[in-house]
Amino acid sequence: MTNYLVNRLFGALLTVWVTTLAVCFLIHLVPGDPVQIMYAQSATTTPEQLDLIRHNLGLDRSIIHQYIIYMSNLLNGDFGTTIRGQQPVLDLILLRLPYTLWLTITALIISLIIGGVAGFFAAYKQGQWLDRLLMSSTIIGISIPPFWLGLMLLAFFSVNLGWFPVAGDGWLSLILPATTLAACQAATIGRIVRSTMIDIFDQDYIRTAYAKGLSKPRVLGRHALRSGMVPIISILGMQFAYMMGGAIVVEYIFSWNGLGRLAIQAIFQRDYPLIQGFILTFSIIVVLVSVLMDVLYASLDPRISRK
Amino acid sequence: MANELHKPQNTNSYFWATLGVLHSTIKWLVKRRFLFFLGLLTSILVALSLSANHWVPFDPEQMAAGPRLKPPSSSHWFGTDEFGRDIFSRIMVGMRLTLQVGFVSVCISLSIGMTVGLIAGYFGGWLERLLMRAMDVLFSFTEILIALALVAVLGPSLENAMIAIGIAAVPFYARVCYGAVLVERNKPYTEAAISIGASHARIIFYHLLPNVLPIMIVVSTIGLSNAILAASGLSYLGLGAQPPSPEWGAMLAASKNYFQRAPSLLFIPGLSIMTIVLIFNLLGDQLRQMLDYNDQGKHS
Repeated sequence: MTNYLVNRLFGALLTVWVTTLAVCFLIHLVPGDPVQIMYAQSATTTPEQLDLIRHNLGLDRSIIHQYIIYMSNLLNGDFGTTIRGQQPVLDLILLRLPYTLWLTITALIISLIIGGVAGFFAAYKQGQWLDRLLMSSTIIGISIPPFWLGLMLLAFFSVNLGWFPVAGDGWLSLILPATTLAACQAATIGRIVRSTMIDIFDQDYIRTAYAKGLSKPRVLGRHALRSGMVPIISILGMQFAYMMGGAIVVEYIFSWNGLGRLAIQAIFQRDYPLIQGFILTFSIIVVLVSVLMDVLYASLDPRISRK
Repeated sequence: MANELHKPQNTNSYFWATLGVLHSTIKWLVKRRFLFFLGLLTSILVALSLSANHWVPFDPEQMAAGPRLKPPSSSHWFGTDEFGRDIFSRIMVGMRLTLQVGFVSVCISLSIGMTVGLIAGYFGGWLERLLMRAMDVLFSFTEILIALALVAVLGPSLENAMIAIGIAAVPFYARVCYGAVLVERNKPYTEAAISIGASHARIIFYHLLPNVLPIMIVVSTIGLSNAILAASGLSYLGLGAQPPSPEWGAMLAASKNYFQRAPSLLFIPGLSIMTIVLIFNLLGDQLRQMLDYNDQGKHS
């Protein structure tokens, strides 16, 4: 278990370290002069001012020097300041992050419920019409462009029926974006749950449980479902990462004030410090969650860590 | 004497042999009729989209080809958009962009991913650890983040979106290829090839590559639908194809302010993306089923 944990943590730290490297040198991959591109919209900036900005961003120093400065700033909690507005990047990100987490976690719960129930019943009725119906819906579910589904829900429920606000950050405004985000992931989760449960229904201990004369609800609820939970947890980390990624588009459609919408604005405005901060925050959260899920998984299923 | 046994007794047996082949082919087609149908459909769509510029009724970028924001009619099958452009023509020409984006991104991810997977799986050792660790790190970034970061650096355009999506999916292709190579590498035929002194290149290209190709084709087919979804998503956000382009995601983005007057502006591009993605998902599913079947050593 310790070995597994150390290995996993090493991988996580490696990922975060590579992210800092990538993020720091990102700006050098920009074709042309990044400072000029960033300030292209304000024509009044003089060359002297551009030099000053370049100096403030540390772009006039050597790459290694830049990385050292960047890292020491990061470790002091300084993610830099935004180009537009000169706000501290970290403050801005921390302000928006709860909204994204709120949306992502709600969507994850919805998709787990829908996907779990659909996958379970599909497996239970394997090969029958219910199974075929559910599995056909999942293949349609993974083929729907999430942003189109979001647009349709917005057009129908918010604009035409007026049931939900078109934008905002209250509970009522959360329902449509969370549903959009959940719908596509529910299809994936449903397929995974189905194949997991089919494997479990074939196991000896399920047959034994029936042979003991236990009732069907008891066998399914206590024996099958409980051991089925373990493999599902192993995919939760990855699902969370997908959700965080999907949230970027969904937030944009529903004008949800989260991190993703901030990132898209930053990309349009070429606000590199903000883009850098976003990429770093995003990958730290995704890595953190996946490590947590793996540790949880390993502690629930001792076979994993002994491999 | 022995020779004569192998000779057909009369010309009639040629007929029966041909009939036998024909029969098994037809049986295969009937058994795999859905796969056959999907393949045919894909070919038709590819042919239609490649020649779209020649046969569509209107120029996709021609303004005022008809009245603005009209519902579907006999002259404009899918209606017209806010500039009076013919949506049917735009969808058909846009299909080529969509297929092109999917194809190019998959080619990028497939070529880099397979190279990494083959090298890591075949040579092993520090090379394997280095490459696969790098793939793990990239994989944990998630595709959308890599694609967004690359687009942020390269600047928004459809070409850059294609490159970004292609690179973002590399770790996935590399992992699948690596897994398949590991399985093949431990089989007796590879050992035999190594023991008769075949060169590395020969083992990789003549022995391993053909055997990992089927699974890579399945992955690429499903990857095609993911790439198309991702590209249209980026275009919708304004980070891919730019407005006058008839790319479907960009068309959806442009329809935002007009869909109440012309719902077809909202329905048709979205339905088109979904249909194409669905076809490739189903095709991948069918191919995988076929592959699994043959993997069990049965013949269809």
